[in-house]
Amino acid sequence: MPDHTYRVQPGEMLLNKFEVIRPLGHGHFGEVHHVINRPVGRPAALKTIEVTDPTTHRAAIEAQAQNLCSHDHVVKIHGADVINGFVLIEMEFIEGGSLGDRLMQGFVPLIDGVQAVKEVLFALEHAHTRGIVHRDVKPANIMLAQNKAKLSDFGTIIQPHTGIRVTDLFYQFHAAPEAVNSGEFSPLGDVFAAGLTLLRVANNMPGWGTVIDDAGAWETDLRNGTMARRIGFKPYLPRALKTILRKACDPDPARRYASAAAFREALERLRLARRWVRVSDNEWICESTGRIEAVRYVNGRHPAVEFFSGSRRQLDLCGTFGTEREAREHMDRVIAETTMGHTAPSRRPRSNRNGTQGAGVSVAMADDIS
Amino acid sequence: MGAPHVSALGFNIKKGELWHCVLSGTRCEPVYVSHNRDRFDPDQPRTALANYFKQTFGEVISRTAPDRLAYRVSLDANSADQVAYLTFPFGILNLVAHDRSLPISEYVSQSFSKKALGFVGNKFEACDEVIAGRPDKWGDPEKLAALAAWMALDA
Ligand SMILES: Nc1ncnc2c1ncn2[C@@H]1O[C@H](COP(=O)(O)OP(=O)(O)O)[C@@H](O)[C@H]1O
Ligand SMILES: [Mg+2]
Repeated sequence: MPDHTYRVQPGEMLLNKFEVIRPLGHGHFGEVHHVINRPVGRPAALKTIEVTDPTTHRAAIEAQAQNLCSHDHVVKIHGADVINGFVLIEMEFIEGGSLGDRLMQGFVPLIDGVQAVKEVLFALEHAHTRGIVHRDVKPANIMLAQNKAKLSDFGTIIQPHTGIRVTDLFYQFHAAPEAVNSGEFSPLGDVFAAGLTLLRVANNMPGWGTVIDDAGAWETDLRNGTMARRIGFKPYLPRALKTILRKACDPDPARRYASAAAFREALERLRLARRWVRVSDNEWICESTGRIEAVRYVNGRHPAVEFFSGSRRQLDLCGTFGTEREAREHMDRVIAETTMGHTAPSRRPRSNRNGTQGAGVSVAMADDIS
Repeated sequence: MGAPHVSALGFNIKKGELWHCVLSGTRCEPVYVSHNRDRFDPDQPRTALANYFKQTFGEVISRTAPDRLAYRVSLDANSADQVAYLTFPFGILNLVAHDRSLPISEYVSQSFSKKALGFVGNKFEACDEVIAGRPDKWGDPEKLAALAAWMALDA
């Protein structure tokens, strides 16, 4: 990556007002630093980007900031300055980092990811109503404040001289095919990118891993809008979510959700209940109506799956299986189904082959093992 | 044509559904403008539910740009959970109205009387008979939103 960054050093004072504390990270446009705006005594995040025409760029950013001002789910822009051909954007400082950072740190429960994307869709709906398209929705642009998600980097993609262009496929993994192929950015492109973002979060994919490793086949998928298909779904995702994601990420814009609001409403109707956390390959844990629940894969001659609610074993969801693969499939299915709905699971898992036992007794017959 | 009429945006809530309806004109000659439904998950945590209503009221108001707000508060809640989605949201609506300096009026079903609106017969039928340009088919939840908007029009 070429280095166009305006060199900013901790301790430095910029424009007689920003005291640089430390770097927060860098993206494809430049760097972001934690600073203090001394005259007003305000902590802020300062983004430095190089552009062909800083004055015009600053005006564009400030106009958008005005337009989106103080939406609960948009990172606030305090102002923009021009210095040596660079634009400095002073933003609200968000301690929690981005959803991209969160994915890097550990498992993100589906219910949290869906909530964050729902909030971002409020921001997109708000922006779209005002004729503003984001163009770069992705986990790294979703900042996690105390208890809300906020979309950042509105409009930073407007022709930055040294930043990404639409044709730089390598940085546009979330872009809709019509954006990739003909530079056409619309609210529907934001819907697509939000869908792909949610898919990444639901799958807990911090990076792109092997998806973009091989000899450029992903490029074709990016152009065809089939990245979502290329990525696929983790087996523990509820079916209703998969249906929603397919629609949001449809290569054909006409078949996507018609608006951010429609996408959000579909997520609203999912009614996720359990906040399952994947502790390891063999164990999931959540708290449901005041009780700790756990699902475990237990290795052995007959691989087994156990479902505990508190200290009670929930027999209808437990089972022993002929092979590890069957047991793991059962575990994934239990997670997918119990993620939804607020009441205790009562649905029987699908038939349990090979004459093994369990997985078929009614919920009422839970036994106490304590 | 005289001065443009004021428009009123009415809200009504039932479990999982927020309905709104915009009317303009006067109480004697109400004119239908638009209506819609936003769905919500009534079982989500209170804080998320509160945020949902704050965001959704904000968007609906921005989009429909009414001169005044109205709502019909249901008195049917008989559990804390029902209060949370049937009643709390209107506290938030009042705060949004305050922030945007929009006048707001509260009604209950009994407010929609023959005396107040000058119709004969049933209030739901009155929506069909009196409101000009109304949709061919609309149900009671959206009519309750319309009735709130209707009440808020000038006499
Ligand atoms: N407002 C902010 N508050 C705190 N950290 C931020 C803020 N904006 C950006 N960052 C951090 O800086 C990193 C780089 O941001 P950015 O330059 O926008 O690159 P990108 O979005 O391409 O990852 C982000 O991943 C995030 O960790
Ligand atoms: Mg960013």
